[in-house]
Amino acid sequence: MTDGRVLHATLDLLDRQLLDRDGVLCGNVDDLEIQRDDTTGEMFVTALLTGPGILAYRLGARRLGRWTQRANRRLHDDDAPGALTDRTRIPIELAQQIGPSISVAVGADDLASHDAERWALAHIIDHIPGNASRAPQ
Amino acid sequence: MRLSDLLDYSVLDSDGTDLGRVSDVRIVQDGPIVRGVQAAFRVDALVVGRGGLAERLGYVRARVQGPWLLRVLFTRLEQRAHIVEVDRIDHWDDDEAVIRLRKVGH
Repeated sequence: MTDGRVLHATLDLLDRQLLDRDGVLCGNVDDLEIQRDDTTGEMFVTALLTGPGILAYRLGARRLGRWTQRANRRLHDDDAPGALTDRTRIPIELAQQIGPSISVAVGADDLASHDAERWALAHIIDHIPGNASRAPQ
Repeated sequence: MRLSDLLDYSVLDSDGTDLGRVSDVRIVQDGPIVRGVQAAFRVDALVVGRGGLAERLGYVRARVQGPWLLRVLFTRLEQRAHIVEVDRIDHWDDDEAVIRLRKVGH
């Protein structure tokens, strides 16, 4: 083993709170993406995964997890802001600080974590007379 | 591959002995620099078997010496945990979710 920082995936990364670039809570690390190079045998952690369906997949409900991810993508990705190509995947190089919580260099609105809340706010709560909420733009 | 997929794999030693399932993954941030930002997170070893907690708390390989009661407890647990360096992996059987190891020194 060399001198780099040592982490244990389940202890130091999984289920950690994610903070966006403004310090806003934006979900938890539900799983990790690992790339395996079959020729060299090396493996690297390439992304933190968060959002609808990811936790269900990790907990063993593989089909439900995949279905939830697909459904969420269909419902929300077309009109979602942000530069991430997959809104449940945060490239590991965007993880700026790893500690009790993990700070990432993306905005909370770029992630799929709170899509259901955003959808309910925009399509239900905002239409209730007298509500004081505003759907995020 | 997801970490949750990797945690489903069983690990077989070179002689076919079942060492248990992958319970954790040890990561070292010493890989090549990614997009000029920071070193890549390399998977260095698999923690295999039920004694993984001892490794994670630092009681494997005497990184933590005390308190003595915990040391005794975790030393016993350590005997049930295996730390498998990634370069010992010989073959991935993705259909059966089995990792086969090569002999040490080969």
